[in-house]
Amino acid sequence: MRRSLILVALAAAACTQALKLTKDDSPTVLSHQLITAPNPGERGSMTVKTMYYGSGTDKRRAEFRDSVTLKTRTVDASPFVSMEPDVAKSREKDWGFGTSKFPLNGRVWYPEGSGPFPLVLIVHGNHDPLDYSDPGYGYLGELLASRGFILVSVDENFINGGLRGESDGRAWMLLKHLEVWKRWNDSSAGPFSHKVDMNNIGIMGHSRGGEAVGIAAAFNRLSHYPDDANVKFNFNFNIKAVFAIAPVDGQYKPAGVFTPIENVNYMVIHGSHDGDVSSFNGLRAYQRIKFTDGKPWFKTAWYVYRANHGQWNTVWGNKDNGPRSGRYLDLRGLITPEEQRQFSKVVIGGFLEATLHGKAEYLPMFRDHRVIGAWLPKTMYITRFQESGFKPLATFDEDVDVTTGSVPGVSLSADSLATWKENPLNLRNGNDPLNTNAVTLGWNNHIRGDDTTKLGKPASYTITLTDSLTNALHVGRESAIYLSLAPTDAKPGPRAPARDTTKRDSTARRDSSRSQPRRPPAKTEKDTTPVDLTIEVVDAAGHTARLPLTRFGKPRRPLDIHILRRADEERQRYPTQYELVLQTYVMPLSDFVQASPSFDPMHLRSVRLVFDKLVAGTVVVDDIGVSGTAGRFVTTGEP
Amino acid sequence: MHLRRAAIAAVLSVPVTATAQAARYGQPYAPVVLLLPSGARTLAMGNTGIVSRDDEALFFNPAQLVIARGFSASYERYSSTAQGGTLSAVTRFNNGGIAVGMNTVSYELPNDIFPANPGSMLLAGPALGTSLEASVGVAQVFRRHRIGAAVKYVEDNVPSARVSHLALDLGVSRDFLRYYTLGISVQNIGPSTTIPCSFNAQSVTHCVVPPGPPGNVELFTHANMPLQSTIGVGTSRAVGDLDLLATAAVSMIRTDFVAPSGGVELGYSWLDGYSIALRGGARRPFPGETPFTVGAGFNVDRLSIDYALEGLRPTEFFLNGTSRVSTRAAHRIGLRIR
Repeated sequence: MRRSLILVALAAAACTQALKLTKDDSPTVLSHQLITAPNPGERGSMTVKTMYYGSGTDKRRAEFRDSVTLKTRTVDASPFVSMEPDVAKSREKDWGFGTSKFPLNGRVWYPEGSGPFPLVLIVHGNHDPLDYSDPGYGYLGELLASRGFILVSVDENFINGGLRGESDGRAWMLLKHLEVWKRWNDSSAGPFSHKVDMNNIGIMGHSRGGEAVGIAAAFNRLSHYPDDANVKFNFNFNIKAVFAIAPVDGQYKPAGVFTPIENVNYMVIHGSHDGDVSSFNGLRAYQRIKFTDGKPWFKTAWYVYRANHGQWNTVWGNKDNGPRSGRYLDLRGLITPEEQRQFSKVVIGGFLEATLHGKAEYLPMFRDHRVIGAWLPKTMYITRFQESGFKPLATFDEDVDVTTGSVPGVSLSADSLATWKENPLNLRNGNDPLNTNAVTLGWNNHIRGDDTTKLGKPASYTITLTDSLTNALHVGRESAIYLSLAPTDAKPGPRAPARDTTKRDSTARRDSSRSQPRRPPAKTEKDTTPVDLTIEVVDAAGHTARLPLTRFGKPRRPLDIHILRRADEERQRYPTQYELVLQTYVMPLSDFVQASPSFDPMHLRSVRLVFDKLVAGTVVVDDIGVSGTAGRFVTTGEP
Repeated sequence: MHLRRAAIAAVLSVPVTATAQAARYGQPYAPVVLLLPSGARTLAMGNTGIVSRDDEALFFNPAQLVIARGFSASYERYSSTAQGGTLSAVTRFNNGGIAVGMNTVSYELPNDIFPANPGSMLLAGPALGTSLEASVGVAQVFRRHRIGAAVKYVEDNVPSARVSHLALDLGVSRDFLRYYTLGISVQNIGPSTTIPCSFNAQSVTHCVVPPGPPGNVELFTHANMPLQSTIGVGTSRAVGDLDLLATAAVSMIRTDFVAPSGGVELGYSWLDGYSIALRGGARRPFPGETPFTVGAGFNVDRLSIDYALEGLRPTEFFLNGTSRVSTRAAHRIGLRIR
């Protein structure tokens, strides 16, 4: 009997996979602190006050029934939130109201003083409706109010539960909250009379709320509801900052397309060990944000290794799929809740200080996170970044010709590459496209043959610009080259030796094909050698300047992700055990001038990726471009 | 080991003497297979399966075939002389499910007695009996109600007689208040059995012998189909780290015998896909049964292994008026694949 029990226990234990994490390089990557401004994740000097507002009649929430300082009218959300009649009936019975009488409930943290203070709304996502989510951002309320922001945690628990496709309703509710705040600010009396800076509004959302803030940003500028033009909009708030925490994407598609977002500062964060939204869906929203009005916007995406879905909300915690998540989610690899929230305080604080308080000293942290090594919890981060001055050279989305760039005047070429292809990128769960293409470049500088030490000329990939394009883009010393890149684990086989062209033997081709073995297939063995390559820029006169890519950021092989306790389920559910997130490198041309003073950036002719630091490897590259306005995101001194 | 068996037997048999013997059981019923368990999990919970979500729902309430999926097989060793087994499988059909299943038992008898009852499974003798039930069931959803029906072929064999019929089960069920399921079924709608009776001094042949106190033997020439109406409810909830499943039902066999029953299952999972469960049940015992059942289960992904234990006590009465009263444990083991 005892033996049987031991056998059963062993069998069960064997199905639990060992903890697998990529070796942490943060002690070196985060060893610098170059921003000298105060840590935006630390409490400010202002006194924090709190209040509730709401319907005053809430059946379930005492704080929105008995403790409201300001009463609000209910709103009719029925065009946006639909449900089966029996579900609607049951919910109405549970909550005391239906979709036609949704309350505008919020808990507010605000600074003492005359203001005006920027207004920031944060909205939770889907969760157990009765495990109320809105108090879970209190730590952000305390932080932001002490730093001079009004933070409202919006109650949308009554939309939670088993509903689908209701993200537009969540978004519309946010805009209705903003209408209330505008009224309070415009009124001649009341606690917020003329204390709200309605020209600097931020909206933040978590999970489904993270998608909702993108939709709200889109609805804000529309005159009609896309799904029913009989519903008119008239919002037009000055929403300048949109922040998405581990958002979903595409659960609501206006007119069948992914929600277009334009002309806002946008930031998205996502944890690698998210047990709920297990792919970096926000990256797709990041990709499609466009800056079209010539104003100085930027967007950034942060992938946080070992962070999960729920620890950014103190109510949600580490059980990303309910109280029993521990049965199947491997919680051992997570960073602590305190670390995860320290991260969010730093980046949310920095983002809002930069975008709503106009504190430009925080901008460089979004270009290169290594400049705030002392503020960030010690884990690994992969970050994307783009500002509105970015001009694309090659985004690989426009055609199927691998030799042409995204604008006329750009040509692409390769030398000695084993792999050169343009292909779509997918999110980790495989079936979800990222809706962008990239170029995959693989190389192996070894020459096939008996001498295993024999190396050929380093492989390279070149982006060439015409003079007229360089002039049109106003490339100069203040400009920066952009590219986003991620190494993969693929490793092509050695390259074939160069053919001896001095011999003119008619049988040579046949002999050659006989004597040479077939090219071995690409290997995918795990290689832990650090990845680096050289960025070479060349001017019209042929002057070159070369710098290693690692000067501008840390290229990392894919980070191991094992969310589930059972390895078999992990393999079954996800085609890859990593998320391919490209790191953005913003490389000021002034750095190249410093390295090689004869190089003239005004006559930039080509940018070359020279694969000379690693004998063999593969990288995925996207969003190659130049910008003349990246300077405000650069610190003095580089990590 | 003997002590343990004795203890189990004692626990299972004590209430029988007080209640079962005094109860009225009505007319004798046939085929006997319809009075026997048909699944290890349900047996462990007092043989209550009116809202079961396993494929053995075919034998309790065909309406539940809408949500039941998979295949199961179970085997029960009633005694050294009697054993039985059940096979069933359900698959998706339209907006519900379709199932096939078979339940059979073979046993020994000291005489050529008809009909047998659950207590007969403990007897030994030269006469061999078998009983068989083969069912085909289908269920669909109609206006949020699950409605199902099963047609079955039933058969009883004793050395000198072979009786077979077609019978029908009907059922309906639905979920309510989020966590609860209500089920109603009417089973074994079919003809009764009539057999000519011939008597000799040594045995009862082709005669229907009702259970009852010794010395009160009357001879009948027919046995009723055990037309059974059942209403029951079930719920499953999370209780801390445990999964609780509880079910209760009241059955009435024709108008003669009202049998409440119920069971509880407490499950624990330490890793997704792996769980263990302990089960217990109680029932108003039919002749030959005892009131309490227990069991356990082990689940690995789609595979489950179940065990159930019930007590049986002989209630056959012979011409010489003697009866054995010792209770024996019957073991049932099942395999389910969902």
